[in-house]
Amino acid sequence: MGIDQVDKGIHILVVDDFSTMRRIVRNLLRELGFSNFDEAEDGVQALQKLHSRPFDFVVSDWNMPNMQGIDLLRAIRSDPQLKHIPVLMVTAEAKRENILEAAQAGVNGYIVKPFTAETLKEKLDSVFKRLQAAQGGQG
Amino acid sequence: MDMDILQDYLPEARELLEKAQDDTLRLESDPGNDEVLASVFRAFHTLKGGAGFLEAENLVNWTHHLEDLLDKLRSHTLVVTGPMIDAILRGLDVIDDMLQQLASGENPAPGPEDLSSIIRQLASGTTPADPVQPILPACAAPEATLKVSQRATANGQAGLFLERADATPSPDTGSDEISAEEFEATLDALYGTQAPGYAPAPESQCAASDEISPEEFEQVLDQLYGDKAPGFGTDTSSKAGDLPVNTTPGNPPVASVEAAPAPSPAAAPSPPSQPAAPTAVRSSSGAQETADATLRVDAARLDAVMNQVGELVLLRNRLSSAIGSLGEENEDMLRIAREVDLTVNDIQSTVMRLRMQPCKRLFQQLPRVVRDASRQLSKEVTLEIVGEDVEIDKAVVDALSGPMTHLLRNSLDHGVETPAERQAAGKSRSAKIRVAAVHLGDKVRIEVADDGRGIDSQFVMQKAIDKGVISAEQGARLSEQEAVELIFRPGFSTNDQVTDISGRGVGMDVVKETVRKLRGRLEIQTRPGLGTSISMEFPLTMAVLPVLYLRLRREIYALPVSSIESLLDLQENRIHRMSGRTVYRVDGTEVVPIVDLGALLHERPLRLGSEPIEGVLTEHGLFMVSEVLGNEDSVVKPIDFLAEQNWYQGATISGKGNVVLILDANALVNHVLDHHDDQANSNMARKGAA
Repeated sequence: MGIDQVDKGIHILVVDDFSTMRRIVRNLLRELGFSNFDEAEDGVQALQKLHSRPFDFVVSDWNMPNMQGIDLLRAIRSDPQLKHIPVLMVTAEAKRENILEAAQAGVNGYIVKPFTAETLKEKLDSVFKRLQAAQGGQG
Repeated sequence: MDMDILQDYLPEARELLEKAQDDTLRLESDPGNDEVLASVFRAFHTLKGGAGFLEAENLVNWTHHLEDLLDKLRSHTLVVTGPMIDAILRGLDVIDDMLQQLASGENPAPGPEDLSSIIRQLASGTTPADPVQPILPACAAPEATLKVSQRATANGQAGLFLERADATPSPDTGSDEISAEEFEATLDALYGTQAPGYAPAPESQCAASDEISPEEFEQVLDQLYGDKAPGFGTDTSSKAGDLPVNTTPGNPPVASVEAAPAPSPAAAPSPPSQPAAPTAVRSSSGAQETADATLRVDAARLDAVMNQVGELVLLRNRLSSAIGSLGEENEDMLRIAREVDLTVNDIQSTVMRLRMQPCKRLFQQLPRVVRDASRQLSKEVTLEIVGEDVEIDKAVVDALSGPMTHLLRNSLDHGVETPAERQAAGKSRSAKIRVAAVHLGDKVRIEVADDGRGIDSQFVMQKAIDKGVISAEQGARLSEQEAVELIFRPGFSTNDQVTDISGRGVGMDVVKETVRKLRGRLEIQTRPGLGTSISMEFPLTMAVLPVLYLRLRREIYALPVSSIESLLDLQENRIHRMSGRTVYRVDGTEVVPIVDLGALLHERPLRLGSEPIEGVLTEHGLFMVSEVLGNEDSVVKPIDFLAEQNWYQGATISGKGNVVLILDANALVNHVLDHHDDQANSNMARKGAA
């Protein structure tokens, strides 16, 4: 169970206002075998992209202009079309206050910058384990 | 260090830095602007995030302190002050240094300790003048058991409660920094601490205590969703904004669930009616990584393309010339040649556009220059910038950054008066400096104008004579405008003492030389008491140089078309000698020096009447040649075997395939002006002979 069972062709949206960071995230995901990415510069653009075609996973920065990551998360969870898409939040610090806020808003996981492919893998692993358990629980 | 990431990071980081500087300067006049505060915060935040991946530890630390300060400003815990702006600006300079170190392949050294401590003190709410550290409450890392529970809150909504059952204080950590193990241990122990923002903090806040560990996060998810996942089942998110997360340290848990330290997916039962997660099953077909809308390209590659297009242009010229000599019957060839011609023109303009950049990049640094210099000189100046969007060749943007800074400093130092002087002269206390870029056909003009005291030509001339830049005799012959232009001569500086503002490195002579190298024109206009304006005109592109081919007896030379004003038939009765110079009276008002290319290049003056002579009028002088042949778009090849002082700006290959030297009109005119006596004598000799 976990990330090994995940189809590596899933479509991932990487959201960050810093293009270097988007590239870093993409490179690390590619190291883990994923190959299918799109990018957005902020929450507003991310929502547009999410509405324009199906995505299976969102990796979003927290601190962005126009629309913060947490607001993007809330928008996703409150949208019947998007609410099932898992969201991994990238943050600068593991501040409890923020992470709990994100958990309340429905985040699937968080990862603290800087991170390695291995850390990312662990994080994705927990996210997918939970998702798979949720599916398993439904029989 | 990951070089790929570094290549992406550096240019983006520099952009962020420039923007942060702009924003910081805006804060000076608009300290309460939340949007700007957030933007500066984000810049440091983002710089730090990227630096972390590059393992540039000192850059991470440095940006962290600044981020910390901005975080407090952003949340209005602290208010923006003058010293803060200074510290932030100096902090930005340090980041700039660090980026340069990164660019040269080094891991940046730590930032200056004095500034670092100033920034930290500012962030801690103490002023640097009052370096007393606030007494922090002891930071305890208590042993604790975490209890997470979900229960109704007082207002009837579902709430997430975190409770710490027990706490045993442990010794202070003592240092700001935390080791990985210590961090993990602290996190493990800190489950029950307050989450600021949800409840008032009844106990001392510890640096590490508001962080969450992965295990705790999993427990929270378990608690919130059981074995379901966010986005499925109980919709906690729609009410998320109202949900309190309450922590009650030390109290016995009320109706709480004892959470296991490891994730336990089966902790709570779940309704079995959820739709399947699409995540693991759907395989998106044929979707590809979408291409970026913009692409960063190594400038060296662009230069290579430009050089190759240059070769193509030269080949095109030769092709046209060869086909032209074939005769008319070959219509196919003629058509192909025409199409090659058009296609090459298209490629040329496309490549030219690739190299264009907005002047914004050039102007961005200027507000800071004006701010720093006006403070240092106690002058009041407002800077107006116009035309940031005007695009110009990258070579100009790159090369002009130093000269622009110098022009502004120079204007502030010498042009702008002190507020008192201005008032006495009936002007507003605050001076105005205007920097503007204007698009004029195939040229761009960049202008720096002030409303200061103007330039006193007599004063300039006297200085130039005193410094030995010119002789008193030469000085006597100069027009007012020529005297003013002495400020562009090497070795000239109107201040006896080199000031810190404008007397460093770049001088006005370097400004002029840079403009010349960029094939630009430099003009200065000054009105005593009213101000000075220096304008520079540059061709839109450096990729191609339109030239006029000239014949001087049996040799071919080229002159840049940009330096030519008109062609004219020489009339002997318009040649005059005036104060030791041979000049040509173009019309009733314009009189220009004569440049006899025969005398200069062949050491044998052209003889009016006994051989054909045509005139080419340039900005500053009339060139005498044997014949004007025609113009062509050429590509300049540098010549590196000539002495530094010469009359050529390079070479090109003509349509006939010959190497042709491109004359430097300004250098030739200046040579004539400097050696007018020889020239005059030779002209006299010629006239005598004719």
